[in-house]
Amino acid sequence: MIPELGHFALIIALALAIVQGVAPFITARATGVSITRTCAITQALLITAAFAALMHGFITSDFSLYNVAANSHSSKPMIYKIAATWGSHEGSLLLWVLILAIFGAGVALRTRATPDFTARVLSVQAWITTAFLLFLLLGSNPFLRLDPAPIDGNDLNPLLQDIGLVLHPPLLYLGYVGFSIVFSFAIAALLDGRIDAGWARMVRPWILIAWVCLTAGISLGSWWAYYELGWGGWWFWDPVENVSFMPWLLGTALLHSAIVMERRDAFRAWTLLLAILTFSLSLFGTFIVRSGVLTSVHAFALDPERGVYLLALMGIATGGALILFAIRAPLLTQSGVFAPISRETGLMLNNLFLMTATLTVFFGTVYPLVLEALVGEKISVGPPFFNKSFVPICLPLIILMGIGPFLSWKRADMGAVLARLKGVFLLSVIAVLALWYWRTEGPLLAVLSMGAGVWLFFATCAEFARKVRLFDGDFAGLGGRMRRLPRAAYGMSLAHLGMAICIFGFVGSSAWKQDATVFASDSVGLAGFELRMTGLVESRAYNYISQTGTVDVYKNGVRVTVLYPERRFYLVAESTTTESDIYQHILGDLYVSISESSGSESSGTQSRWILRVSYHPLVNFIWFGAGILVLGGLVSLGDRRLRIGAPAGKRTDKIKGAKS
Amino acid sequence: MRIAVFCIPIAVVFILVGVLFWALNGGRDPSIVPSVMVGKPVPVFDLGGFNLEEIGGQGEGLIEGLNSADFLIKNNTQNSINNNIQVLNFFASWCVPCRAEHGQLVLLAEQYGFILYGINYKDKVADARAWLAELGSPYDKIGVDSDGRVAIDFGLTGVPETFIINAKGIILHHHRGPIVGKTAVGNFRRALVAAFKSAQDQAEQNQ
Repeated sequence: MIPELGHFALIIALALAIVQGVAPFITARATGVSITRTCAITQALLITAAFAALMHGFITSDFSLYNVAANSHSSKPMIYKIAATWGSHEGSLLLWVLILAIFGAGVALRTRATPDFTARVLSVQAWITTAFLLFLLLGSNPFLRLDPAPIDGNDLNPLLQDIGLVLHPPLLYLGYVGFSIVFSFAIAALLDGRIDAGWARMVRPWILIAWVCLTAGISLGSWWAYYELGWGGWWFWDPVENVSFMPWLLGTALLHSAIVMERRDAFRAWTLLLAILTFSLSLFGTFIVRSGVLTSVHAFALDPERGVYLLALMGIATGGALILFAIRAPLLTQSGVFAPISRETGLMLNNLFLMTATLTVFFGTVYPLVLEALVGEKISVGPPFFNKSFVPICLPLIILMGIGPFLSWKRADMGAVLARLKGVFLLSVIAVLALWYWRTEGPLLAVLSMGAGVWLFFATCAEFARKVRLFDGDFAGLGGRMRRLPRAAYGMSLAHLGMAICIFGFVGSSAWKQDATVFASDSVGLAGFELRMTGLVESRAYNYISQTGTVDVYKNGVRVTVLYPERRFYLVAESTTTESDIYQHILGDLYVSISESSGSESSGTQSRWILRVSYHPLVNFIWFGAGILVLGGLVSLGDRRLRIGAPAGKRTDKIKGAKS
Repeated sequence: MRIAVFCIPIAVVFILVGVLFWALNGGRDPSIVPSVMVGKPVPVFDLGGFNLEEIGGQGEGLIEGLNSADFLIKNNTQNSINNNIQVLNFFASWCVPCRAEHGQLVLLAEQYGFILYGINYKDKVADARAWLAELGSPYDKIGVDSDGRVAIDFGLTGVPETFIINAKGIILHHHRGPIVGKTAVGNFRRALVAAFKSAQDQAEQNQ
């Protein structure tokens, strides 16, 4: 009964979405406005109800539902039963639609836009919702029944029974789908023909929300792969990772270009194009992930039929939006003028670099497909391409990130800015030379990247110090100055610091990673640690046999920890899994795993085992930095001027005066 | 001019959608890696073998190494047709799918009576010996490719991979991955049968 109610709720939501999509165009203004608002809110409630109905099916293990039978099992822990709601294709699509509707309702409830414009935005959002609801109801209905119902379910892939699945997909989706509302704002503005600084002010909080969620979602995904799935790395330049990374890169560009549009009324065309493209890339990502046109280490339920629908959707949304964009081109003329050296130019360069970086990733991701389509040759593009092309593009961007915030709007004095950064520059050079001296075996690019990270870190600190006039001597007034500083300024500084910390982690763990493989009877020294396997215990768990090694870890002759790498043999699946163990500390992770060697059996039990050890320096900085990045976004979101629903801010010029 | 610039993204999107649409259709499987080796002669190589006593096989002395000349069968009228077909299997003791495939390979060799050669890929000699001693060696000759040089010439993407080669040393079929499971075994059998058929046709022509 409950699943049928959920099903009906979806159908009614579809009807409401259609009404919401056309109302502002066929009814009187005031009616249109109230209809779209009511529809948006009711729709969100209905889809929430449908989602709850599906979740209820999972919680009560109602195996008469096909989706539950295929993805759950009665003996699974409750949290994974709940998480399995969005573990399947149908469920995750329902989550996608739910988030779409919630963002729509969010706009309906709290926005600074005029009622007229809000109605337009909601109507565009409703078109997207309609398309996805149709897809859900016609092609991937999560409420299909099974008759007779099986006694128990098929269970979810054991790898997915993890806290990572509970959080990673919803956050990633919030980010992906969050850009839908930005897209709707852009389309509504293009339809209206009114594109100005006010538009940027309305849309910025939404960009920020989506960006924060996407950042959190991506970093959580890489954390999951590294710690829980034991992939031994945090980023693989895999197509599925790339398609989530591209909206992030463009979203970051959008975040910055929207600032220019709000403050200086410049970059209109650019900002709108980014708003359209960011969501298009989200759709592209959904298509790539769900259609299986590219091979990936991430396995998903695939179906080419669904692919056609998603592709059509992506083509219509992107193509239509870009055509509208071209038609409105005359309206998108530049109005704010600025000198070649100014904050605007800095942000323009930021946009260009981020765009180039996105194109590089895009190129690397689709090139194998295009080549196969044109020449019929099959190739794959792997990490070497991305490392060689992406990293050099990011280096100047990071250097620029240090300088940019020092530049004033309209016209800046480069000489003065560079004079301020002399100390930071000196510090970075010393850091590079010291690192070069200490670690001569590392690649030059890695040493330079570390230097860029140091530069960004201290330049950001210096910029913050300048903003609050830390070295003015007037320490009494410091507290007041810090309180008066807008939260957006804190957010920016935090986000840039977070990026710098991430860079330490990215570079450190990729360039100076160390590996060793030895027979378990020998001891091994790696990165200043001394490891020795002292025992091996075989035990039996409910569905697997476990062989757990005991590995003592010494540093300077002192035992610092004991690690228990494990090898599991699953009896039913007849498969073996490796459960590595990790010694985490601030400077790096020691990763230990064991595997059986089929070599000479005569010489004792322990020599039959092989011990693999690897050391990932600074790897924890990645997630620590990502955390600060997210925090920066959240703090920024708390800024008075960005708060959704707050009264329109003061004239921007005043705030600009306070800031610079 | 300005409009033209604005049209670029539209064009890009439509081209991309076209390519992606093509990618969706035509029954293409992105996980299949085609081989450039089919139809080409076996690359030139010369590899050493193992000591037979050490691997516990019958007979004495060294198992001969393998070289590219071995694939050119001279007097093919003397042999049965089946012996004109040669199968070359790349394996390694550290490779779990190779172990899974081993029994199937023995079975196929018995059933069809083809000549089976092996190349031991990037392995420690002691490990490979122990592996062969444990499972038994179905191979007529084994080459030891410890640094993987020869594997590169064969266009190997991993182990196990298996090649079907005719009496003239031309590669007829390249099978990637283990010959395990219904689909893979079926495909391999089909390729074998096709190879035998063409060998037979060849023999009839010669007579």
